[in-house]
Amino acid sequence: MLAIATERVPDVNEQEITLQAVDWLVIALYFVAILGIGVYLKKFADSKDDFFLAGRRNSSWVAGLAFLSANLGALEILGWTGGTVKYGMFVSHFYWIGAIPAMLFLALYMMPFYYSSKIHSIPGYLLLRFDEKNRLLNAFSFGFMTVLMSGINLYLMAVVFHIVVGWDMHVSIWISAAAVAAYITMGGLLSAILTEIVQFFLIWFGLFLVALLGIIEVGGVNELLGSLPDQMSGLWSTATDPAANNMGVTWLGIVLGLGFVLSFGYWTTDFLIVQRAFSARNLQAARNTPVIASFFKMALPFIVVGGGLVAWKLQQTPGSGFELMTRGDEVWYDSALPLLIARYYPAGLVGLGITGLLAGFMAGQAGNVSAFNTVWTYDIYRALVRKDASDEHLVLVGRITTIIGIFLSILTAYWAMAFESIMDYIQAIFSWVNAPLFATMLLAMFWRRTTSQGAFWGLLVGMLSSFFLFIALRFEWISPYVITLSNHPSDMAENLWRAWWAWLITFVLTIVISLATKPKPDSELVGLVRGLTDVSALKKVPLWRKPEMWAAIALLTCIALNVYFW
Amino acid sequence: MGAEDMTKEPAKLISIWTWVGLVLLCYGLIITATGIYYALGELPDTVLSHLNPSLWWGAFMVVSGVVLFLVGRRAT
Repeated sequence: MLAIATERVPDVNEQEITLQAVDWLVIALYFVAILGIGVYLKKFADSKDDFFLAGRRNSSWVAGLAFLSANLGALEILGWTGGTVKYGMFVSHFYWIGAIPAMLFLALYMMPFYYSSKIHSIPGYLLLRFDEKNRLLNAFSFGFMTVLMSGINLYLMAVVFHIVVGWDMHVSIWISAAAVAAYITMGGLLSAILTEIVQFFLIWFGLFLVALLGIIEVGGVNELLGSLPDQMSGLWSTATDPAANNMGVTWLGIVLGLGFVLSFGYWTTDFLIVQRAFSARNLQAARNTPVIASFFKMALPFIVVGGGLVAWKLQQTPGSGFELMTRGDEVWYDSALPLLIARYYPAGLVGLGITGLLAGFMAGQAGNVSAFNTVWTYDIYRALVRKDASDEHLVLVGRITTIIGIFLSILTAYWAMAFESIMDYIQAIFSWVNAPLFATMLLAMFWRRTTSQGAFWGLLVGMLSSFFLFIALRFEWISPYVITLSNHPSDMAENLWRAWWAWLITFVLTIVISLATKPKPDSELVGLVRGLTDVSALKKVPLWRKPEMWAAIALLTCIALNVYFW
Repeated sequence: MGAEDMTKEPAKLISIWTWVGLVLLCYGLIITATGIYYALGELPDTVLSHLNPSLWWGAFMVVSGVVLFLVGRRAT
């Protein structure tokens, strides 16, 4: 699930890393590689299926690594490494229960409906399953959310590189945005996916070593875990009382808010992520996509939580010379990972570490832009402006939309630069849109009685109610206890509980309205709803290729990790 | 979900594993070169520099790059 860097950034330049010539060479090589891929792929992106669906030619490994890479933004890595310094092992929840069950559910139960219906986007599914107004509601809300999130991503990237390596913020914003615009415009989704694979490897090779060296310095994993205070050391043993863990949330909030609503809302309905699976060459590969990604997702806490715990340990050790950056009296937790890079990496490796972060930022940016251009072109432009558009015309619109999307992101980045407080509101949009949408999709796929009216009004009221709860808590119109069962919840606890209520409101309202309105006949729901979709072809593969078997292994691994770190 | 899936790519398109292999190989060579430079001269002023992470991490990247490049060549 997406991590949000909620900390305010320092307003002073505290440059910690000085780049040498070899570091610049490493960074330059990265730009050459991704732009080279874009130029090479231009000739493969002439038809609309090539441009928007990567030609549906990818193997499950390619789609799977891109699936995870689109999620693996640098905000996620920086945010949760810093989050671990605050919350300890609790952060692992966001990688295990907060991701794995939802990814496996998508693979096993939802992908057949998505993939078999040959849609280009999630709003496209809502059109087939319900009607035009449902598609437009989702398309506009997704497009709005995506552009704003893309802009925030761009702004925070510029802030991080300005503080850590002293880069000019305007130069960071324009160069990274121009690079993403160039390779997406040329190669479309295929370009986005293949560069995401390169970025995936650079993130791992660039940042894994930080955690490894950190663990070596502090004396090993056992020494590190043994030194943690109780409120930071467990996953579930401290989850019975909000006061017993630093996140201020109980197991109920973790399970309902994170493990169920936010996680499922993100991994199963966020088009930015699911689009990668649509690019797989067949249904079998599409179903394997999230399963493969789940194994890498489970391994990420080694970098993120491992790095964060090392930073915490060094911070506690007198004479270590390690101290997180501050802004006034507040600690800037997101500085943990860059400071570890500065601590362990000599010239050359520093360039690799910075490239890893840069790759993370740009992968997130490319994911947003490629999803935006598809939804805009298919679900808004073609639906409202030109229904009979040719293949060539749609590809042209997709290319123009990519550039427009990048410009809107840049505008959002400058908006955030001028009014930093708007970031909290924009970041909260994520749970306004995705949590209610998961209720809609769940009912759409698994309850054939769900009607277009029920889905539309349930989703609209669910999104509005999530927004209202956010404002009501922010301005203290209602007691936080009513929503979170705690008088002093953390921002994270508020997020989890708000998502739960938004989901519940959408779920209940959709059912009530559906029961009072007329459903579509079964003949119009074939291939879109459980019970009316032919999945017999899936039974003809050997056991070792079945996603069910690998999903079971992934789930057991996830359970074992939770038990081990209980 | 086996090796077969990982290596199949349409004939016209250079496999992504070739690209990744080349990138890792180039990076590995650069990082290894800095590691050799440090091994022959003065160690950098970083924590655990005596382990010379540039040298063995760079070498690991070279090996990974070669393996992925070969996987990509076979798939193209």
